[in-house]
Amino acid sequence: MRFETVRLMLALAALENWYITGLDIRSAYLYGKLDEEIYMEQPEGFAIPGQEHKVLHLWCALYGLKQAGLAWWHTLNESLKELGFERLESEAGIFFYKKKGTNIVIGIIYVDNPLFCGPNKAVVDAIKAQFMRKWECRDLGEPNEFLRM
Amino acid sequence: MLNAKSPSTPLPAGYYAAKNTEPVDADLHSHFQMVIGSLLYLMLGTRPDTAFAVTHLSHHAVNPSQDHLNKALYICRYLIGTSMYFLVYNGGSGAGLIACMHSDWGSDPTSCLSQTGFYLKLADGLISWTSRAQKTIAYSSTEAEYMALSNCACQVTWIRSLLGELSYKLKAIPICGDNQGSIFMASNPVTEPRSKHIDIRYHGIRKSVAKGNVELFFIDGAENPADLLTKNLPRKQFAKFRAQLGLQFPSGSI
Repeated sequence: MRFETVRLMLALAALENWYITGLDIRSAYLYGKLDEEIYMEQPEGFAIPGQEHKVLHLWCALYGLKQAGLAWWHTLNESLKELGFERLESEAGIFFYKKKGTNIVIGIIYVDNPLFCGPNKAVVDAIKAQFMRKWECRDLGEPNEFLRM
Repeated sequence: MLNAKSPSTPLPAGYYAAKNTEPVDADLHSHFQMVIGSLLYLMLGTRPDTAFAVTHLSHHAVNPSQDHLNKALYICRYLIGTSMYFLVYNGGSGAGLIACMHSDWGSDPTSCLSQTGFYLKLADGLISWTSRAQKTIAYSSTEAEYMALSNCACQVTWIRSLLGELSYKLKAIPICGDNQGSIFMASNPVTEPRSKHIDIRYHGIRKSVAKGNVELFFIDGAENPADLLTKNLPRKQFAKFRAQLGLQFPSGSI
């Protein structure tokens, strides 16, 4: 996802007079499902008594793990697909929701900060509500900043 | 630093950062990289007016001198004085996509490379900007301009396809430049003695023009805001061009 795209979409939303709303996904990286075997040493002070020599097998990604970013992205991709979004070919961070008989919704996603926008507030909010049922999010409402910009 | 007197441009007009010939000073090195890193983030985010200044200095991140660090702090002081400026997209303007480009031929006296600068505007505000040194030496200003034009067209093509995927059908996107020679070369498949050596990859612009993806327009060099992305301009010119980027005060006044 490039900054340029964010600005492009914001300018477009201004021209088209679209409604925009933002979310922040809580501890997003922890949801990333791993597709390989990764082990870690037991954290100091939290080792299971009597089994200190053992290591832990990770099911999900952790912050700081090299694979975390990609794992999260794959997981997020899947969930947006289930909601009916299609990812653009020319920009991996833009998701397009286009169904017959309803207004479009565009998802602009920077790692764990999604923005949803579209011409119809009710449709956008409905999609957002569906998304929020899948992930624990903080609702940022109509954003006045994005990535500290 | 917050109380520092703020200059009216990011760097003094015509300033050129010369290469540091002294051995690397570790403290200076890490301090400089920290400052430049922060400046780069701001520049990439919402401050196209500092694009040339920041990229110009960042070339010296490997071995900065005390002068480079001082100039980086100069940019910081400029930003403090203009921290209330932000990019405004005016939905009411109805303004479509438009690109503007410029190049500064052989602007780097050490490497003899030229500087490319271009931007894209939508809804009367900048959405994309680039200021960078060209990778190959240009034998003429026309050639430098031609290469910059080609880079600019690449960006336009990408934005076009992105909007295309969102079901927008766009007409040819205007690109404004101030060099007649390069516009002629891009619009006509001619091979002249003075341009026959130009690398094939830069001829992509011809395809874009022929396909009707872009349309080239000539504008007066003194009125080309993209000039701001290729050199350190004097105060007056800088302020004039900055106002055309969509960078505004909150009140809407410039």
